[in-house]
Amino acid sequence: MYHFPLVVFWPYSLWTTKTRGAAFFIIAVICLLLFDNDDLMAKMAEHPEGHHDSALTHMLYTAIAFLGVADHKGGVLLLVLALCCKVGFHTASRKLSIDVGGAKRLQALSQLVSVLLLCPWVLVLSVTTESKVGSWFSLIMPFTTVIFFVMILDFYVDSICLVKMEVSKCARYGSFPIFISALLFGNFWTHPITDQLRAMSRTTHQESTEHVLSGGVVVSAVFFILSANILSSPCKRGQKGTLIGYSPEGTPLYNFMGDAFQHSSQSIPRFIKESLKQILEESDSRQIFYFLCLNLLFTFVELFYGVLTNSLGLISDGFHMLFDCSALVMGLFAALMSRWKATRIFSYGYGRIEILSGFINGLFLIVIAFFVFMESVARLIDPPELDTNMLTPVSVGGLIVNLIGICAFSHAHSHSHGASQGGCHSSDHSHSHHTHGHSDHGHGHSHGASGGGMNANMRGVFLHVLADTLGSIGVIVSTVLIEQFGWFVADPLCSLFIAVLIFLSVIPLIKDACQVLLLRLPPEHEKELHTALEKIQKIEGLISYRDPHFWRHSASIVAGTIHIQVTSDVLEQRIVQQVTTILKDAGINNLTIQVEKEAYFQHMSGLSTGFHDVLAMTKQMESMKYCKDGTYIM
Amino acid sequence: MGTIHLFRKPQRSFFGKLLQEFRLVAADRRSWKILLFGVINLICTSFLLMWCSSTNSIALTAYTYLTIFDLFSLITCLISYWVMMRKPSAVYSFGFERLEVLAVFASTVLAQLGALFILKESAERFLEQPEIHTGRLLVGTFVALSFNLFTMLSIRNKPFTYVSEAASTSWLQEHVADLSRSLCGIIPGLSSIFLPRMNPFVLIDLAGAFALCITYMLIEINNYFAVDTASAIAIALMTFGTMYPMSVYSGKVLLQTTPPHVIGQLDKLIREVSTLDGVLEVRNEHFWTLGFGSLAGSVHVRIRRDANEQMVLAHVTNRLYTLVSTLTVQIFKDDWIRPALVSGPVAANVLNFSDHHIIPMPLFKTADDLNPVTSTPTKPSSPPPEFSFNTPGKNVSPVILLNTQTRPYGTGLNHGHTPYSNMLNQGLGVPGIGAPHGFRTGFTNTPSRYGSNSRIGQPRP
Repeated sequence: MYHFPLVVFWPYSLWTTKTRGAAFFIIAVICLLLFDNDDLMAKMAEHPEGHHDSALTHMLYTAIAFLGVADHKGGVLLLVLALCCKVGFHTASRKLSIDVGGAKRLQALSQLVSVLLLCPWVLVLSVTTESKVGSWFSLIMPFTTVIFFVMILDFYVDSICLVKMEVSKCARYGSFPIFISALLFGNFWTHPITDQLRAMSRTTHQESTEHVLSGGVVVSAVFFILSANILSSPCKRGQKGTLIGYSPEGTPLYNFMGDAFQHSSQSIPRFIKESLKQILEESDSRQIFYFLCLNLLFTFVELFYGVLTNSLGLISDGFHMLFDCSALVMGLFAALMSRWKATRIFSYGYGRIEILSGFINGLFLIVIAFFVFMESVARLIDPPELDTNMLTPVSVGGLIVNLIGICAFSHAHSHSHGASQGGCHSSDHSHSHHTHGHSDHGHGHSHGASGGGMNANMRGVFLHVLADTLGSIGVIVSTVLIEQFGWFVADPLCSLFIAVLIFLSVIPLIKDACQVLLLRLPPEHEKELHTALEKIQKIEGLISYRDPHFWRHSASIVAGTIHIQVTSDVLEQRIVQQVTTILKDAGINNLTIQVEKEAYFQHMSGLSTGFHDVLAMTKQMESMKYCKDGTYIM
Repeated sequence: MGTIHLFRKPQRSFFGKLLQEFRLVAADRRSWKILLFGVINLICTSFLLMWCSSTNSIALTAYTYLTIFDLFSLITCLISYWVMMRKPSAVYSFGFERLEVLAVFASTVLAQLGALFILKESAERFLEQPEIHTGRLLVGTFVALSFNLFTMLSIRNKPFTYVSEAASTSWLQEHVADLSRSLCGIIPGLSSIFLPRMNPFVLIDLAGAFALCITYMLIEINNYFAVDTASAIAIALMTFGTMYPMSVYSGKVLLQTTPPHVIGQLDKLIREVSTLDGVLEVRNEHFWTLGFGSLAGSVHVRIRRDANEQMVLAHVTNRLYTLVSTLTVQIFKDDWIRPALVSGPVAANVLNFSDHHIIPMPLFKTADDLNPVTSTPTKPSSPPPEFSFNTPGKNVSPVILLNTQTRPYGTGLNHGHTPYSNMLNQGLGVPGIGAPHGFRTGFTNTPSRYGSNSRIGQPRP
């Protein structure tokens, strides 16, 4: 089996085939784990093998049982573990064998070490249990076969293959006999002929625990063979790029990212350190990060406690929290990325990512609201019995965490707006009850609606936290109602209400983000821009303007382009300066002004690119003439 | 609650508007087919959702989400019809082309969020596997599959076709392409179907149906209920894989980025522009896609002080116009307030033109009122359209435009009406009145490149 590892961690691999191979390998292991059914599932509870001989075996058994798998599957897990160790050994062995002096010596040494490792176990076992072995002489034969096959023959066959063939070919063809013989072994293990051979286990083996070769095993063997084949196929390095898309003309574009991509990755700890530093630099990302940590902490406490007490509700709530954390993670990434420097591709800088992330967060909330709505409608029709014991402490904990988040984010919010807020004076008291929560919510809500599209990312995160808070409040309220009055309808009604509330609070965010993404004239500058355009019209020497485009690119950039026609006797630069000043006053900070005189249109018609363009140009010239009528001489 | 009240009012008018626009779209015959499909889709989806709850299978739910995604794509198609009919308005000055992109983005993101939800649900199901009833599982699979394929193949969905072709391949496509490459080695005839790459939607529909069939088989044979969860995860992952490249592509359009495939062409054009005579540098270049396909852009071009702005503008526009349809070019000269003398590279500290000259603006206006522009006029008959662009001095009137107003800090203080040569001498005679010394040294070092320097004369060594 140890033939894949050589290739699993092959550094330069053709990406798709290798991933497919790895996926096949994983599928095969999962097949073994899940679909190798023992009809003895029921036996899992008690000891299927009957009484365990020693405390050590029993410990191993309980450890495996703790993982929730049958003992055979525990064997599979152990094998996977052994595989990982083997991989480590093999990667180290190339260097080690040179140090030690020869592969053979290394092999011998490693056998010695493994014997040493196994010795204490053997000692403990032999001391603690009474021996079942009748005569030691009958064991000699099996032992020699085992030693011969496992140690000596394997090593020599392996080394001969390595000498005669290439490594990849050896691995490729070597895997077939291994799997097929494993299958055959599995099939004929219970056959009477083999019974003769395995003299060792005859005493303990009972007919009842016999394993038949199941379909899952066959399927997984097929997958193993496939994955071995794929993974060990020779790498066609750098031969072809991967298809990444098509140009507008329809020619395919290839991506030749070979080794350079692999080499450029920096070491992981340094990367983490760098990004942490970046995160903590600015208040937005810092706040999201701290809150994310808090949230994750709460989630893991919840999950751990859920596993400990075996409470399914807690665990599923933990998963729900993790689901919510994904929105926070996205917000964090957006806040981080928005500070990156502008590149060729992102020529305005990365600021717009925040808006996009706000939009995605809004969609996320709508999806959540939709699912909550559907769920609550289903429950309204058929209200289930609820177990409210566990819910209250969890939801109170969640409420506290989320209230902290709301406070933090609403502060960040007001800072970023520069607007004075009535404020959320409540710091994180642990005895927050729901009236408090409600007042808080009112504040946040009005704010979310009024905030004028400044930092959509933070707004999205804030609304998300708000939705979570509403959820916790809803759970608490419905729990109280159910416990006090026995109204089981309260739960779906509460969630219905919350879904509607989430939906309504998200709509302004989505609307604002959409407007920005669709390059709308920024609403908060609309009036100023109108007056600015009027002012521009009055500039001396200016005939007209066309194509005024103004849009908000990101929170900090409002971009604009405008074409201006002037008479031929004014200085273009002066016009540019005047228009720039007027538009800057109106809040546009990324301007491009094209000043056109009549000469431009004549040049263009001379250079003319096409008939239509000329037509358009002459039309414009006509209009210019009309404007200036007498003074303008053609 | 106040916000809700505030909100309700615009909403009603919003719905009214929506209805109006809908009528506009519905007037088109092509959209009838889409509407018909939409109605069938709704019916189909509701049946599927019913079967989902009756079978209790999450894999089927994941597959149903693909049908819902189909509904979104139909809506996107409607939107693209609407976009074609609408003209740019005053507020949406670029037109509504981007609405199409936004619709594609939103629907792919929604599909991914649905897949995320499925992942979460199936993580919960791994803890406690409920029983699956296979009764309607296979029926639902085939209804959804046939409907999805029918929709995909019979409706020409322009935006999604474009995105699926332009976006990078998903991992699913790559694997299929990889497999089919070796398959086509055996049977060459298949290459027309499989090879460049398959339609991602057809691919994911087929793959999802395949996963569901396996689920059905295994549950029927051996009651492996866990297969259902596993195949739900597989379908969710495939959905992610299929939708992710598309949402990245459309998201990049929304982020106003330069599409990578035009960067080569753009670079070539910009290099051409920067070698035009008179052009010193090209900067602040922003090029981005407006909708799917059409480029928009703006660029600042710094030119020599004695170059003809309109000529350069025309040439730059002409070059870039082939690629960029919505183009704005700002021509600027450094330090244009001083009378034009000689050209030359200017110290880097004045590069930020707008910052430099913003302060004196109000003074300008008063100056405008006092003495109106009396600059030496250009020849009223503008230069003949001759395009030997390398010698601007020949065609353009040699008179350099002069600004004659009193300037707060300008150099050419009262040379207003003096003839050109006269002024020039004076300007030279008073070294460094208003200009930083850096400029002087800057351009004395550089020899002028073309004939006009004979006219202007070399400044002091």
